[in-house]
Amino acid sequence: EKAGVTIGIVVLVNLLLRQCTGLWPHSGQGIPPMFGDYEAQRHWMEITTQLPLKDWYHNTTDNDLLYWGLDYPPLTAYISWVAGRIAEAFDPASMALLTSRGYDTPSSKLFMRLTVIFSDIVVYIPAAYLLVKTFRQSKNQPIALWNLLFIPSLILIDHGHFQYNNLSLGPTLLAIALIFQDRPYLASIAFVLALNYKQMCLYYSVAFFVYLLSNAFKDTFSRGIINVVKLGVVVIVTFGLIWAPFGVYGGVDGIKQLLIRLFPVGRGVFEDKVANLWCSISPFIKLKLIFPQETMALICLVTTVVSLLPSCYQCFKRPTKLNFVYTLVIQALGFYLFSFQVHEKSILLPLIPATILFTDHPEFVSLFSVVSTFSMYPLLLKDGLLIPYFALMLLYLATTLPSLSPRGLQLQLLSISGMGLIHLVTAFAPLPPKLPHLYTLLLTTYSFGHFFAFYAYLNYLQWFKKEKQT
Amino acid sequence: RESKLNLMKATKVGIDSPYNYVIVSLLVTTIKFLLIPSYISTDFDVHRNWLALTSSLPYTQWYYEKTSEWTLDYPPFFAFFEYLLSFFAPYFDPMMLRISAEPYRSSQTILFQRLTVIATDLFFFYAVWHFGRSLKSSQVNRLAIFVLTVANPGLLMVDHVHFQYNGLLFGLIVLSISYMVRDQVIMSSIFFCIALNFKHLFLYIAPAYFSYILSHYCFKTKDASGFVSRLMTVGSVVIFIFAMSFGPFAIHGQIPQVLSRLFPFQRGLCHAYWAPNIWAIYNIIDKILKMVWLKNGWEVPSDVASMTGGLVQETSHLILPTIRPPHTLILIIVFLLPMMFRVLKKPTIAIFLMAVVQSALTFYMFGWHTHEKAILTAIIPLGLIAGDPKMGKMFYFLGTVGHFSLFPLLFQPTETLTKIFLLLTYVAILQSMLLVLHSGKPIGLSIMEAGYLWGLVPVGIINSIGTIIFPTLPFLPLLVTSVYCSLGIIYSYIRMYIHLLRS
Repeated sequence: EKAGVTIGIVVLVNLLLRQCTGLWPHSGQGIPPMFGDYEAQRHWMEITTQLPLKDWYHNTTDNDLLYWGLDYPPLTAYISWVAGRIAEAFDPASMALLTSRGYDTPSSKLFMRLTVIFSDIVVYIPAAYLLVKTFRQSKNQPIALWNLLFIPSLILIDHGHFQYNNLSLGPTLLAIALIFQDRPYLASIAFVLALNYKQMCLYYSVAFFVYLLSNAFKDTFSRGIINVVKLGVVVIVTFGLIWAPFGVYGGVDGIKQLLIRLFPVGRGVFEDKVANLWCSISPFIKLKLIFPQETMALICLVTTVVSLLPSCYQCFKRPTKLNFVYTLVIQALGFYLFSFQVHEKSILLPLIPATILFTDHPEFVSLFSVVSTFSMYPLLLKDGLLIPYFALMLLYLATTLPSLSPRGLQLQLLSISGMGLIHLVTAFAPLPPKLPHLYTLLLTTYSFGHFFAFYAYLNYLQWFKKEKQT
Repeated sequence: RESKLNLMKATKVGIDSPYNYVIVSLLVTTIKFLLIPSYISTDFDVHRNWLALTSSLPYTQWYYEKTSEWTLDYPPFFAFFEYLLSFFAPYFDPMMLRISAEPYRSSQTILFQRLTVIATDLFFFYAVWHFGRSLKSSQVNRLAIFVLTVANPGLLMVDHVHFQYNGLLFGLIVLSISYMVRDQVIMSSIFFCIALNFKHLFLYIAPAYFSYILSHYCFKTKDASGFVSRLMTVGSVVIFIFAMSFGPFAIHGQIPQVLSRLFPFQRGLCHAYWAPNIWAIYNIIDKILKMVWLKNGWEVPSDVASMTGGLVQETSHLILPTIRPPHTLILIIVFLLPMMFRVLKKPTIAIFLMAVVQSALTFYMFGWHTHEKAILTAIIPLGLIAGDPKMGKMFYFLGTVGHFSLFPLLFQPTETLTKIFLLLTYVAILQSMLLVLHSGKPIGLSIMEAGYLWGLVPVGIINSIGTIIFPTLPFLPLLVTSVYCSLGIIYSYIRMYIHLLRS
């Protein structure tokens, strides 16, 4: 009973922190004509409720794809439809076609923030709790749950900037939990759901594939083939069920258009400054000038694939649950560091599974979380989330630093000093006029250095550290 | 805020480590920072005006300034405090120090004022920690009392959203109580007098102090000379502090003006939102009787005032006798006397602590124009004695109802979630802390008590969307909240009074 109360407190405190973060501005608040991610989500509710399904991903007179056109998979669209219907019932003007662009009243903002909190309550938190129950003893469960929930970068992005990462990361955690429970088919379904909410979950696909494949063949070869076929059927059927309406109403063209929206190849190798390899070497090697778009995409593909190979080999050779988690994080990190068109928010993808490792590798996870939040600072600053950033960061440091070994503590404090220095310089030193992006690049390169080190460290752990039963 | 037992083992930190206090304080402070963009009430403009007038005008004009309706109505020490704060204001926005009849709410002003509340709360943390050390209990219990006092959602709602400085003020009170527990009566009196000169609302608990000091400190000595000397000591301390505070104004003959500001009596029996005290019940009975009279076709005196119509007016009751200030004063005195006699007869520290709560609650219950925020004056001292199982149970009950009764203060849509999550989280934490304090024994609410608390949920729903469901009855949400809460508060008052008189 005591543990139950403690879990309740962990959940409620985290919900309170999330809700209070929601009091701050969201992305693009009050900035016409485009506003930001918040408006994008609201707009998707608008078009899914006001337009027929066959038009959702198509450019029509009513649906201008240049204004936040839908570019997430169907589950996002379906869920936006549900939320939009509810919003419409309370306040039709908030969902009115075309006229509701930029709609932002205290009540509508309350509703939007509530949808994210609701998603946390219904999807992310139960998934995290299930995961924690599966692989931790009951006396460690409250703190393990706390580590999965109190992630400043996730809170600031979902409840500050405004996104629904919890709706893709939640099912991912569920999939991991189901893998831990040795239920590959349910895990596949959960992962397909995550994938169909945000295609960015492809960052995890290879890890899931390799682990499930290797596990399928752990008995005889023929059994293995049967298992693989069964898995394939489950995955295809799940996909089919989710995509069916588009095939029915739009035919092959409808499906094609969906794919085009999900995987646009027209944009550059990186957008805003992001803490990956390409952006960090860009001051020295002008990639855009040397390589054409297609070649660059190919280079990214090759480097990404190469970065995954060692880990996939390990995971395939010894498909333990720990190896699976390592590969998951390494793959997501590899994609973040080396692939095409990466957004700074994608650092959440390697981070969230990594927090599973907190109890065993507190120094690594805690530093990873801190640097992840730091790497998104330019975005958060633009959103007006300066104070929540520092407040949550300080709280996070205070709650995690005592868990660290003395050496880990030293390393962390060193890194944090570097970050603090960069913050001070950015705040007080004037920008040299010829280098307008200097401080942002400083920040992203500093973060990149850390992320690359994490990538290397995880590979080292996977290859050379003896695995103990936890 | 996790269960200390589990967390400590996991993070290798001892129970008596100051780290625990730091973490709890930091967590609460993080919430306060996050609450910065919340709704702000006119109390914010009031305090900004006080910054302006104390920095722009000589003190001889402080209590005469009336450019706006935000006139100075706190005692002089608070005015001096605002004067001190005004030295830091220019670093944020010098324009906030201009006296104006128009509200001035630049983002820098809001940030500055919010930061001053957060900063002064540090004193509150210190005071509660000091109190814990005064208690003769285990480390875990001290930490539990610290957590449940410092995380008080009423303070978060009133100080960090609505905007007030109760953290600082209750810090003085808690420190005073702490010294009393340590039997350092003079120190206790000093801090209590200081608190009184910051906010005269603390007169609510003066009767408890008076009785206790008289019997425990003065009468303790068996001979007359000792009695006189002790009385003189306390008396001179009180006089000295009041002299420091009111002296400058007395010299200029401004005392009547100051007092008229501190004790304005022209408002009605109840605030726009009836504070959930005895008068809420009195009002509702009067209204019901009026309906009964009308149904039976009996004559009803005409009356235009609607008591929760949103304006503060002179109220007159129609069927029941109209209440006027002297009635409330008599009732307060009548209900204070048993408590004071009890303290005089048995001046133990436990009795004193209960008497403080009872005194505050008596003024709240029968006072003229009580503000619902005043419930904190009873709740916070009650939390300090939550270590006692009976008092812990009452704190759980009164705390939940009392904090819920503050909800109408935060009436904007954005704050709907804030107040719900604050209260919910606190209730969970409180349950855990009470389990720790009472060695795992459950709180032990009766079916009726538990049922009543669950009844707050539908009341809360009516509070939030009542105007949508019943658009023809705009006063319904406030009325239901007020009447329902007053039932719980009256119940707590009676039960605790019985316990005080019997224990």
